[in-house]
Amino acid sequence: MFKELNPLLHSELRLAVVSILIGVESADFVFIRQQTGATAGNLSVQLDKLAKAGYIEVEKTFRGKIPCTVCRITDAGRDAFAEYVEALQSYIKK
Amino acid sequence: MEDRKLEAAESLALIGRMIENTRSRMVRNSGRPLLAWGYATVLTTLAVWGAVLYFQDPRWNYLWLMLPLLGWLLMWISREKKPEGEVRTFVDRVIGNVWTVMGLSAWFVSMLALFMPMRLPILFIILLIMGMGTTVTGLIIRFTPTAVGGVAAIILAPFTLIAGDMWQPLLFIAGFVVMMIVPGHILNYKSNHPAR
Repeated sequence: MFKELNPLLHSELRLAVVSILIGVESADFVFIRQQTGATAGNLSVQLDKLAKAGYIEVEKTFRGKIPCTVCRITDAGRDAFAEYVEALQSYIKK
Repeated sequence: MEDRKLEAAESLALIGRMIENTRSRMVRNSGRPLLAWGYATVLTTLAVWGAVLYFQDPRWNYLWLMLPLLGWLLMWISREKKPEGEVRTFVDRVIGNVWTVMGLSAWFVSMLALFMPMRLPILFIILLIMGMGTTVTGLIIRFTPTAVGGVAAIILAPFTLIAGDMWQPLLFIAGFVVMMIVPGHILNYKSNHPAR
């Protein structure tokens, strides 16, 4: 029996973002953009969706005079990611 | 990368790739803190040593107070002018905490040696504390030159107790060269030439 895949995570860019954040304490917007190769606009939209779902925290701050957006995964995000990977495994095993 | 749906195998490959890229990422000029604090310590030691010898006045030991200022100045001068994307890992936090504890301990003992009426083998204590911090850092980041340099400084530290006044600062400088300056340059070279 296939488990349902979380539609919020089953998208290339959002899954990449959560996969990056799962292994770190925090990462800024520039780093995530470098790693994913996404456009700034698209990445902003996807970060917003993940934040609204409670999967990540987004903190707007400044580094010197330069605005900086720092992202962290939340416990809800960690749980959702673990469930997503578990569901994926049920697809791979079949 | 776009907002498109993935096959299950693609998803797993993407997760693995992103985790591996983040884990194996090496920041440019990773050896910068080692170099800044290593050179700051060597320069300050030479300044104190030279001044005390030349003027024959122990009050020149107060020049040690310029060490933190020089360290932070070198950190500021050598900072990345165009900052890369920043990521903070668990390892970063552990190393940060290790150096906060080591740095505050060294500062506390140094203040006792400078301002309290007690005779402390301060060069021995500082070399030991910094050697421990460097060894722990080398083991955490799995960088052998740093770990070996730290151990060398720990081994060198007791020799400052038996060396004469003239040789103590030289041993102290040698300790900082092997534990911070040499590994710092190697680390910088490796982080700036990742393919080699």
